[in-house]
Amino acid sequence: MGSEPIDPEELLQRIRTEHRSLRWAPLPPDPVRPGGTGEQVRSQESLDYLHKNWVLPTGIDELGRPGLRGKVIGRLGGFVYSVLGPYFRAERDLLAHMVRVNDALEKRCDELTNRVLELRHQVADRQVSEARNQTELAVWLHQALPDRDGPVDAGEPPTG
Amino acid sequence: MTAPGTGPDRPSVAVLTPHWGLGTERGTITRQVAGALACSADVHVVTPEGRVAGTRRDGVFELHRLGTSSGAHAELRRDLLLAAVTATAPAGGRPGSPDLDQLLDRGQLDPWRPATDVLAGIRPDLVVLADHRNVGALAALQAHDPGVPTALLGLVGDADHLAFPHFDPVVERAAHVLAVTETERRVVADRFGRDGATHRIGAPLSANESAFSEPNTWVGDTGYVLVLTDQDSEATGLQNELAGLVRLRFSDRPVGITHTDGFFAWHEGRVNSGWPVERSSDLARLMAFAALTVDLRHPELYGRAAVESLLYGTPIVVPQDSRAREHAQRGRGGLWFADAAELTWCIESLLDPATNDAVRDQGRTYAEAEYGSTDRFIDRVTAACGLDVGAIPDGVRVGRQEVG
Repeated sequence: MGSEPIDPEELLQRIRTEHRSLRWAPLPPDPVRPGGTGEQVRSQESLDYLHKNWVLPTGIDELGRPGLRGKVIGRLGGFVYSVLGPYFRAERDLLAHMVRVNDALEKRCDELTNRVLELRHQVADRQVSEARNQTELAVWLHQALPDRDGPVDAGEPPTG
Repeated sequence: MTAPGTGPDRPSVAVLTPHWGLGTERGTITRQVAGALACSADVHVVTPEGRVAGTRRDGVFELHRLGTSSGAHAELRRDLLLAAVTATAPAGGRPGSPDLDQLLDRGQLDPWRPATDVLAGIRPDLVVLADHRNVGALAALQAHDPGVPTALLGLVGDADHLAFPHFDPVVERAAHVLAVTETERRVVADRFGRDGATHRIGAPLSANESAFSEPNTWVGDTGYVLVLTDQDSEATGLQNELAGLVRLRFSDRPVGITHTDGFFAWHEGRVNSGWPVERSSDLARLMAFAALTVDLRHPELYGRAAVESLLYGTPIVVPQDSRAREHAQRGRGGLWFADAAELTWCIESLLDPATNDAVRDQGRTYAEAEYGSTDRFIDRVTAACGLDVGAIPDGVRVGRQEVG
């Protein structure tokens, strides 16, 4: 037998004695970080860039340039835009929708963030109320039990 | 245990028992005592059970069934009467009157009358009466031969059962009284002042090594708290309330609760449920891997499950008024509680690793010494009945099993 022998009667007596004084306190509420803009979507700069630059160029600037080179490029560019124009417009519409979707996602994320923060505050408020309630119960029980005459050490009810 | 055979030199022993079966602690210990005596004597078992009278071989025993049992009704009526009178009698009183005697005897004497003739045929050297309330068997024995040596397997349990002087003649008739636990032995010795003639015999139990091979799949090898109840999980009652308290208080640790309708493994507010624990091997596996066993039941005689838990090295927590308390107190294998608060404190204390280790070692040492050896049990029973221990042949010794 490697461990120190234990007398159950002595152990039981010790347990009873130790528990005669109420050493109980309600759990403190979990810390809650304050909400605010710091909790909002952090990529505001990228969103601004998207808003400013999502529109693709609608034509080629070489049309107004002098010389043969400008004329050739202008004619060639005009031809290309006349052929690929529908595709460019479709792509512009696609980008416009993507920017709107991003806007909606940003809004939804911020709403959810605020909701989570609100819930955390509600949980913390509930914890505080429960803790106060349990403290009152503990004090009442202590007074109700005649053979528990040790000092109550239930602590101050946390205020959150 | 092997059959020792019969022979002209072996004494003949008659065991008079109201029941012959293994379903209960009382039934099991009766059969185990008869088995121990069969190592050095020819044992005849006489019981009122059976639909028809007859004699047949049952292992190493010659079983004489009288076929006169009135079923469980007479015993139930007697037990209800005892409970009612106990509840209304003043504390420490010894209720008795001719009317009460007549009521207690009702249906108890007639089933045993044919036993007188059976005893005449056996001509036993020793008669063992099973159960101190067995007034019918005593009457049959007295009618056969008032002088034949007699021992009593008390099956008393606690002092409440000895409150009725109606049963005193059964104890007084016996030269030796066999008690399973020290508590029972002391109760009988104190009541009748026969300390030297009252013997503690224990019971032959063993831990099955295979229980350590694989943990129960619902709780695994997680150092869980095992809670034993004999209630349905939906029932209302103290056991279920205490079991619920344990799983709520210790929700950060797995808590396995046995109910009659299933096994429920709780952890962090979630529950896995499995089949009811009905086989002893399943219960053994649960006890073998538990950090401690809380037995909320009230065993009928000595608390077999509590002893088995100690044999598996698992400390116990039992109610203060449980007959298993002796194993926690005298065996130093656990703690006992008087109320719900103490229950949680006891568990809390025994979950401390250092305390758990020490109590586990103490409990296992006690259980192995008192209950873990069939050979010692045979010797104790043989000696307690006044038979010759030296006459036990070596061939029936089973040796000691090491587990854990």
